[in-house]
Amino acid sequence: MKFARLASLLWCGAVLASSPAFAETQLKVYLSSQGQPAVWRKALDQFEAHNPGIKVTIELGGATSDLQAQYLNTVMSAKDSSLDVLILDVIRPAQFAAAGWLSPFAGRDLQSYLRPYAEANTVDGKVVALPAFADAMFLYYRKDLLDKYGLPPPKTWDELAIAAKKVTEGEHSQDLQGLSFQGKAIEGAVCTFLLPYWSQGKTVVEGGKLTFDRDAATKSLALWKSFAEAGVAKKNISEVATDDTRKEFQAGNVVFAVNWGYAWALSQGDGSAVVGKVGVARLPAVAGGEQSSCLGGWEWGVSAYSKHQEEAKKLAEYLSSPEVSKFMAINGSLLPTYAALYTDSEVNKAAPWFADAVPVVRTARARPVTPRYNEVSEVIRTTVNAVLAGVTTPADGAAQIENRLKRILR
Amino acid sequence: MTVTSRLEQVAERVETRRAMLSRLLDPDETTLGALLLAPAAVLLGGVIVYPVCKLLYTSFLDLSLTSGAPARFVGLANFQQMLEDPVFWQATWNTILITLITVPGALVVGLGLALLANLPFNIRWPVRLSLLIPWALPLSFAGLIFAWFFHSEYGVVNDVLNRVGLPGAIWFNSPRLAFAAICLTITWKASSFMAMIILAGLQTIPRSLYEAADVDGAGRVRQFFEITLPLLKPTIVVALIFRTIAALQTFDIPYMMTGGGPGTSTATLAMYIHQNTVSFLDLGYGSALAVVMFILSMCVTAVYLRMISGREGAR
Amino acid sequence: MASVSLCKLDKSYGSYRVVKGIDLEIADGEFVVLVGPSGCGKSTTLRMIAGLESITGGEIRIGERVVNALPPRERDIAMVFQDYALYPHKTVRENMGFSLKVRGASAEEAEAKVAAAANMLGIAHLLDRRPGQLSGGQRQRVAMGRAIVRRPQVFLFDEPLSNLDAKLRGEVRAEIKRLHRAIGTTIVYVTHDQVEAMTLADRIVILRGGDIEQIGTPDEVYNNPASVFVGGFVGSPSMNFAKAKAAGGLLDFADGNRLPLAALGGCAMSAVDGREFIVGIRPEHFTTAATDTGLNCVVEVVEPLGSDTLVHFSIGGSTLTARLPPQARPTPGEALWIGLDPRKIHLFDTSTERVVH
Repeated sequence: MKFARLASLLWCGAVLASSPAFAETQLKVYLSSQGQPAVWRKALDQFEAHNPGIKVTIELGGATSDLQAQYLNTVMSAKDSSLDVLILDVIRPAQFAAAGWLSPFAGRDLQSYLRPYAEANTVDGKVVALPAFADAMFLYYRKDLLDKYGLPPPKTWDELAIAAKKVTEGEHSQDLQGLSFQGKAIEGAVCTFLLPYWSQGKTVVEGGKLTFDRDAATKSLALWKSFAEAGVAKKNISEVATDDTRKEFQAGNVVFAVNWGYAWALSQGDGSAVVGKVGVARLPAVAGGEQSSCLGGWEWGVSAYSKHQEEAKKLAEYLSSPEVSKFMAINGSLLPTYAALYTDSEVNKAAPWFADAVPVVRTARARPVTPRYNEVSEVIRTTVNAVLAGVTTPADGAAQIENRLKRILR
Repeated sequence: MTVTSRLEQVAERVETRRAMLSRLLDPDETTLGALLLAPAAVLLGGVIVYPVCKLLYTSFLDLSLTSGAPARFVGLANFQQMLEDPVFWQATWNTILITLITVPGALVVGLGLALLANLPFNIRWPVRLSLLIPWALPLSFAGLIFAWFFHSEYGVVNDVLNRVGLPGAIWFNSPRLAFAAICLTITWKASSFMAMIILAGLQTIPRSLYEAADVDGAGRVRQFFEITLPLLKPTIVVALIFRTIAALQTFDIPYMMTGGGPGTSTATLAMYIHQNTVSFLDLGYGSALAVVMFILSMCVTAVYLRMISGREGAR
Repeated sequence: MASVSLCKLDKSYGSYRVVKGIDLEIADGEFVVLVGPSGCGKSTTLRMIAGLESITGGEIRIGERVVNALPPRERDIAMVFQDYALYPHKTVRENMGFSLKVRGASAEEAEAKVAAAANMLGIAHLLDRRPGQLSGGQRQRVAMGRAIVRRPQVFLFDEPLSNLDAKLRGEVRAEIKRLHRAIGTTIVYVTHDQVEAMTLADRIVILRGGDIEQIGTPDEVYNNPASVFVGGFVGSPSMNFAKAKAAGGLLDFADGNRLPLAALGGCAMSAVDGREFIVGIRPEHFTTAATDTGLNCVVEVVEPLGSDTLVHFSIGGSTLTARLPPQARPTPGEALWIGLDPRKIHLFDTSTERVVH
């Protein structure tokens, strides 16, 4: 091992000495088109400045996590070596590692990161990816409206429904919805299902074994269905995707919204109707349960097919470093993966709401960790969608999830 | 060995080589035929026979890239799994239903459009242009456009319904309405293709046949059923083959419009294959599903080919 | 059976007038051939009679009825098309019986009529075949069979022989003539072939540019062509034309050849001195026999045909052709005295190109 590295270094040195032009290494980073590539570019420029001889280009993927996964699935199953460093949704490392697509970071210790991320990136004791930035689901609410009606941010879903009713009835506005969440059959709908399910203290998978609780699932599905039926959420909630929630909240048409961290910066930016009127809180619990959130965030993986393993790992380490995490927190409003940065004065100045976010991220729960996550996700999201559309009852939906998960996680 | 005998030997060898060469350069008819067919055979073998065989083989494997485990031969296990898979049955049934609804639908609408475009009036060119546009539109585009048309809040369909005093619907919230919207879109998209093929067929029917029928005393309706339809039959059969196979492979439009939702109620077989192979990386099961689709397509083609050859036999 | 009468019949496509107000009376049972070069309006006229083409002006009567506004099926006519227009997916029997079936005839009646027509045309053994399995001549016969089963008042033929080879054309021509004699129905027949016109017609109508140039029996149009056009169109090889001037009782061809006007018969009356004429002479009216009148010429080309010998020579700047007996074999370049019967010479006006009486 040591010998090999030494040899390769020697070889590199020899090449460097003989022809400098030839020594330049081209790395390609795969990024989401919605993931602020311009800000990442600045971080990459820094890397290039410190590492002469390495050039980094960006390849942009689809807008949603699903589209990116489909693209990466084709590229990686073709053993394509064109991508070196990949940004991965927190739910992917397990699957990618099982498929042998990620090059592990041997001997790497993840203790300096927030605990959920250390766990999400460790598969079978191996570190398969490094955290890029953190995220979790939050309850966004209209501070101005809640103040107007003297309401505190709700701690339970029932309180939320009552508060939403009170505000929407009081405002007499056709366009104002009480609650917006993700009912379309997309990845976000998995979290929709899990939030009240987890709140009842249940898990889906533990140690690779199915621990599904059908009653808790029925309750979760029934809760969301009741929001649609009671008029707290709109009738076509089964058509609503993550960015629809963000846009409608930003347009001032929603009292409560369940969404990821990215919505904050946009809600305070140009073209937003709710600048200065937004509060962020932990998501409510079911009555008698605990408040819980869905862990999001993105990771840096190094492709097993990359022809520049050394340089690619160096780049991933750099992108996952506290410096870049801080840079992205300040310039891109991305939640840091290091606990210390949440109390950093510069970070707090740029994004004061991070102080409220840290307990949420710290306690957020990861979606089921399994190589067959895509199938698990598919089952849950289509069932949530079907229940919200009235195709299936919550009880039948829960039974279907259980039956299909049993087959997948045999 | 004498010099002459050695010379003879050499001469003989040269002769056989020349014979071989000349057979290659100036082959007899059988060899020439084989030689000329060879490139096409190699090409077909490479792009059709090999992939189909490979697909069949993969359908007997337990091969999931997410498991990281090597491929394992499991016989008919994938097909057995299919029998117990409710989504497979739903997707297959949806696919067959889409075929049964949109193929005749597109045929009727397309025939009407083609007859309209074939009228000897000045309205011919706008009709022909409007035929070309849906045909030239990529399928996924059409799906995206109609997804917006049927959107419950911003869609033009609900807007029009509201304007004429009817209540709008949340189209993609109900399996039936979503399915109807999909069928409508596919029919819209496919009828232009049908119309173009049928129009080409119509134009091969000599005008004098209609004149002869005029003189013989047949009215317009009678002419349509006695002349137009029978003479269009081969064209229609070809159009139906294309359309039916395309309908069995329906993917883009439901994928863009509903993504198979609500739930899995509007998923098609092609979408399910795509999901299993591209999203779930379960190549074994995905291949088995693809084999089913392949068999379905082959059955349909066989039926149609029989229809054509039956006709030619009668001639 | 019925007469057909066209009165000031006119057809225009936009500003382009294809048929220019023609008048034509066709008697009951008559076989009339419309002949002329392409674009003369003959097919358009026939299609107007059939009702396949609308009428811009004038009137068409079939029998006593004005049929201007009637659709084809109510005109009681039948038509044989140039491409036969047989229904390719129907058998010969179905093709022939189609009009009967459409008009509600019973199956037995239709079968009997089809059988009768098929027997008459000798195609009874083809009844169960489809048009695709027939030869050109057989198809032509089926097309005629389809026309006659119904026994309409008028048959219309639109260049029915143009898709056949020369030998078949001769046979079918004879057959059509026999058919007409057998059933006696009025026939209007369009062709561009003057031989067909001459052999088939009771009367020939020669059309040119939408006008009738001449109407007459085959003999009339051959012997007394009304114009240079008719003279040139009827007869093969076609009539020779050369320019000449009347001077001192002679027709002067300006190259030394002269013919005495007195010998020309009636038409010499308008031969005022100095007037120019187009002189028309049919090739077959030249002779090698000793005659009083004749022309001095130099032989240019000789074409022995076996039955005749064609000799080409030039007179007054025009090339003329003489049809001489087969034994006449002048050599090219030879000076020849070629005789002619002056009474067979036609004189036409140089400006109107009409015959001079």
